[in-house]
Amino acid sequence: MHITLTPMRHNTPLILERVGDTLTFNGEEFDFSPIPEGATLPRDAVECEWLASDITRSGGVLHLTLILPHGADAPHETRFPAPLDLTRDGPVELPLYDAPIEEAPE
Amino acid sequence: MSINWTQVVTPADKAAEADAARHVGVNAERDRRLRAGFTFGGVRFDFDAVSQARVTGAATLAGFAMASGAQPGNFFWANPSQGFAWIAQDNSVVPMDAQTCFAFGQAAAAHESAHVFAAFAMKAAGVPDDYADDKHWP
Repeated sequence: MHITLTPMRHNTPLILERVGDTLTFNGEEFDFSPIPEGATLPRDAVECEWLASDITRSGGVLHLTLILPHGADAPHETRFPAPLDLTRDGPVELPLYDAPIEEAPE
Repeated sequence: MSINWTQVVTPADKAAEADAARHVGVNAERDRRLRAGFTFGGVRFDFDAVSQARVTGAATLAGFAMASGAQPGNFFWANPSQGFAWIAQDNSVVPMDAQTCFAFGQAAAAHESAHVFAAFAMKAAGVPDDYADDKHWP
């Protein structure tokens, strides 16, 4: 599964999980396995606020773009995220929602 | 979760869409070439919609004049006080007797027919990517 991320300032962080062709967005599950090879599922066909593109299957791989929510102090790698090529199931490691809070020195 | 699977666009759908788009393109190219004019007697003539109607009307009149005995070389077959002539694309004036005007109409009809059938043949056989190339048209 190839995911392109488009960063967006958003108050809700995203927790993403993948199992096969199923993606779970903050607990809401979407199974895209019925998409046949070479087909496109239009963005409008999916009621998911995190999806930012049509979904296509090419060479057996699903291609899609997701909104990457981030906080006001998101690091550079979140504001300019690299695409993800998911090959394993489980939680997806997304770029940090916000810059980690550093403790002030005593 | 909600996914409307009726909206899935399959490869067959995409091929059909692409084919339909190419058909539209072929029709547009056919009309463009058709309306660009036709050649008769080595001279280029207009063939926009208005010109087409004029050619058809004149050729019909010429046919009636021939049936009524208009002779070759007689340019006054349509109007006894004025010889019949057609203005070409280069603005030259081409005199026509009834026989020539009738043949002029036949050439115009052949011009149209050739383009219509060239487009038809391409659509029937599968529209090539280079459908606008001269090699596919009369």
